[in-house]
Amino acid sequence: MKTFLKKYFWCLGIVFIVAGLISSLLSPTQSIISIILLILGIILIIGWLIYLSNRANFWQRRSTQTGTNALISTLSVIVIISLLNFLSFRYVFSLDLTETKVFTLSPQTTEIVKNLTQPLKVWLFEDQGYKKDTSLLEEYTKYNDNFQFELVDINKNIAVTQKFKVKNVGDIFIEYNDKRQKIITLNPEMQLTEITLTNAISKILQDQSYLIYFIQGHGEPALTVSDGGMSQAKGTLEGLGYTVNSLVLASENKIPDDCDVLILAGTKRKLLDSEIKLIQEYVNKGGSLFLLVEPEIKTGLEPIFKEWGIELNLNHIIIDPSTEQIVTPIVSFYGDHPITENFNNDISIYDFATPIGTTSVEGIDAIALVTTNEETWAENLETLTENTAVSFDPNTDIPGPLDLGVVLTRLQSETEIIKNNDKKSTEEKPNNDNKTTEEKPNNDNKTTEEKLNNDNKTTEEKLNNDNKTTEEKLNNDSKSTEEKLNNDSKSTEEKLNNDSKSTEEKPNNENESIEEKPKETSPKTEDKTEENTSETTPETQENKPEKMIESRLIIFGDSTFATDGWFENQLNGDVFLNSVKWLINDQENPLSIRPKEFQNRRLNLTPFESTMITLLALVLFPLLSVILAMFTWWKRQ
Amino acid sequence: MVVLNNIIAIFRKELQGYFTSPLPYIITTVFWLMSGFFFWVLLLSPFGMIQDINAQEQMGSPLPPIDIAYEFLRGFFDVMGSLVLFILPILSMGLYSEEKKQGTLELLATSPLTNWSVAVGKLLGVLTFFITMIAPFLLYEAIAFNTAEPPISFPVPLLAHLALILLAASILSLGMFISSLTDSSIVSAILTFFVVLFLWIIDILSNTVSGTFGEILSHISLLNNYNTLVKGVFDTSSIIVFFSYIILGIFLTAQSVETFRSQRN
Repeated sequence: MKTFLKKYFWCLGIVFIVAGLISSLLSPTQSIISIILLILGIILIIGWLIYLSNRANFWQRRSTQTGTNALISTLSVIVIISLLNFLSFRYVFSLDLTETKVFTLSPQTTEIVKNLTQPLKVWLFEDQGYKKDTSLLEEYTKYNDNFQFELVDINKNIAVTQKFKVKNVGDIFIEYNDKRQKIITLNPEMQLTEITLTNAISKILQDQSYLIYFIQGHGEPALTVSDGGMSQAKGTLEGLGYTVNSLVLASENKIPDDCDVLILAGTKRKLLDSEIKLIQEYVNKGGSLFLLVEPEIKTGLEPIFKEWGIELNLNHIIIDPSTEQIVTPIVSFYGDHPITENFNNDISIYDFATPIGTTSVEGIDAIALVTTNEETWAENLETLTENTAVSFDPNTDIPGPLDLGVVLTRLQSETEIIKNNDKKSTEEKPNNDNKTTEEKPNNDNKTTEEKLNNDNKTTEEKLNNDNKTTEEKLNNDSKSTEEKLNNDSKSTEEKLNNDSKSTEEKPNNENESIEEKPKETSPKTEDKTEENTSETTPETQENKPEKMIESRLIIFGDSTFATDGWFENQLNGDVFLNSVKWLINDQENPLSIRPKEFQNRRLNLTPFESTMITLLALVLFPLLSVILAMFTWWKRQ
Repeated sequence: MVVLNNIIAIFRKELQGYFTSPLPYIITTVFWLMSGFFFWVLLLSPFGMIQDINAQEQMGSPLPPIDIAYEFLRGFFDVMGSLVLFILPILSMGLYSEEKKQGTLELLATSPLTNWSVAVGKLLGVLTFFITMIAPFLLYEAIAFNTAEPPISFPVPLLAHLALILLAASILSLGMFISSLTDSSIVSAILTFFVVLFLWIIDILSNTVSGTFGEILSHISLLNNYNTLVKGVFDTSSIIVFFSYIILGIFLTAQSVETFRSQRN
């Protein structure tokens, strides 16, 4: 034992050094313990060497020579084995023997990964001690060196974490060229699957980026984080890979050619005639327009409404007597349309909405997208005085069901459009005259609802000013607006939240954007910078004269539903997003990768078989072994 | 040919030693009792997989497709992978230390047999004994999987058994080397157990450390490669890792015996 200790004393030194190295690797900061361990290990080995050399002619002894020989050959064998392993690690051949090939990537995935020409990196942001499962990512890396992934400890690598604006532990981002997109946030219910990862890759590989313009300049909800803004809508759209810009028509004086969808949401003032003209031209060229109008506000878009057969009763608001707050209709009926095809009877919530009426116009196909139930009606605000209770009056009010959102498509040849344009210009005048008379009474009849909103606004604004620049602002803002919403319609709202929490949370989680732009200072400068960045997506239909041009228009009688706080409620976000997607005409067909499933197999053991196994495993075999042990023992005696 | 005969001779002698002494049987008894217990608990007991799935199906909850045979196999071999880590050091402890203690290693070392053929023969002997120890699993599995609906295919269970044998061979090989360092079986067993523990820590570290270092750790982690094979993926790099351990163990043993001989002279 003593000679053993003498001989292998150096092992102890190595153990200390290894322990020191590992602890220094594991702890985020240089800890004193690891340094002590390292020093201790080195001292032990040096001490051992000194002890050896002090012994008489140690280096001349034969055992030392054979010892060194053994050491050298051992080292060379270890090097050879390491090299072999390195090669086997690089050039691996693996065969998936499971019946359903659970651990093999689908041909679609391998195709995409093999064809990567530029580095694509997946970033996993994790906490210390998080049990990582990177087997799927490792599988991807086998097909192409351009596919890389890296695990980042949120607490250690703060620079990278901030670059990606990581919000949660378990966030997974994908980076290609300069594009960064969040895939999902890992949690026990949501694991990274081949389907999500491959679809995210194929999405980020698509060079084409659709451009969405929000018209600004007339009191529309801001795209930044602000009270009643649309930052959530913007963020989600960007998360889906779209580029979202704001557009001040009056100063730009043109709609960019690469505009895929033009959104006019919740304008508070009338648009200029020149602006209306630009919008009309844009739509006639085959553009897609998304209008979210508010009651009581004249937009000046009447020529377009007339052309498309849209009839607005802006002095009417939809009353839903079944809800706590009668001016927030809850809708569960949707039209038969791709936008709403998966909605079933799930609900979306609107606030202070006006009904959208349509008349049939030749060449225009109108489908009601969102329809209120039969109990609702549209209350004429002109007949409403402060003392009377809100009730249905067949003379002045419009009975339900009412259309709240309508989707319209027009298929026209170019000549027809020109003809229509001429007609329009003559009709514009009388429309304008009507407006002035209509506007007056509307302003008088503001309900208490708005007062309530204004009260909330002031407190919210304070809250927002406190933490303007930070990311948290988004969360705070949505919270406060949500609170407002909850106050407005407490009981029903809570019920509904519970009902469809899961459906509502999903899209938000998956598509959170990271490309949050810094807060714009003034609309003018912002427009300039954005124009430079957006130079893709030419309008294809433009140059073919005799081709039929399809224009798309969606109009909602409410804009609040898409603003922050409301957006994430129920299906509101999906109503908005699906509408935009449909307007873009984005042929988004995710790769049809079949989910990996095991063979469904059961073991149908009879009681006899089950007893037999139990008996064999727990009694017979151990007993046999005991008997044999006793037998051999007896024989030895 | 001579070499092969030598190996077979050593192998026979070693194997005979295992079957004619009581200690290996006692170890076997413990191992069979424990493995049998886990087999029963995981599959047949009231908390076993069959009962669990039955209960869930009766509750009417929709289940994703589950391959019970496969799930059980993975669960069982996962436990076995850990269990053998405790058993193997006891099997390998006497391989050389007994010879050293009884003074027969001088005979072996100075005999015309090469050191490595002795090591290979001894390793094969102890490995064969281990294979006998896990043989009853095949019988249990045969009975259980015979009732599978739809019928089971064999590559995955066979690969799992191969993985267990490779894991055992790697640890036995390292244990053999440690056994050649000392003339005390107990010291050899304890040291081997520490090495196993160290390998286990590597496996845990490989799951928490990221970067190249973590990648290397997960590559050399025996349990990690074992799990790859058990889940049904025949991976050449995993096989090569196991053989690296085996060859390294044999080589170090041969070196150790060589040094032992030169020191005696």
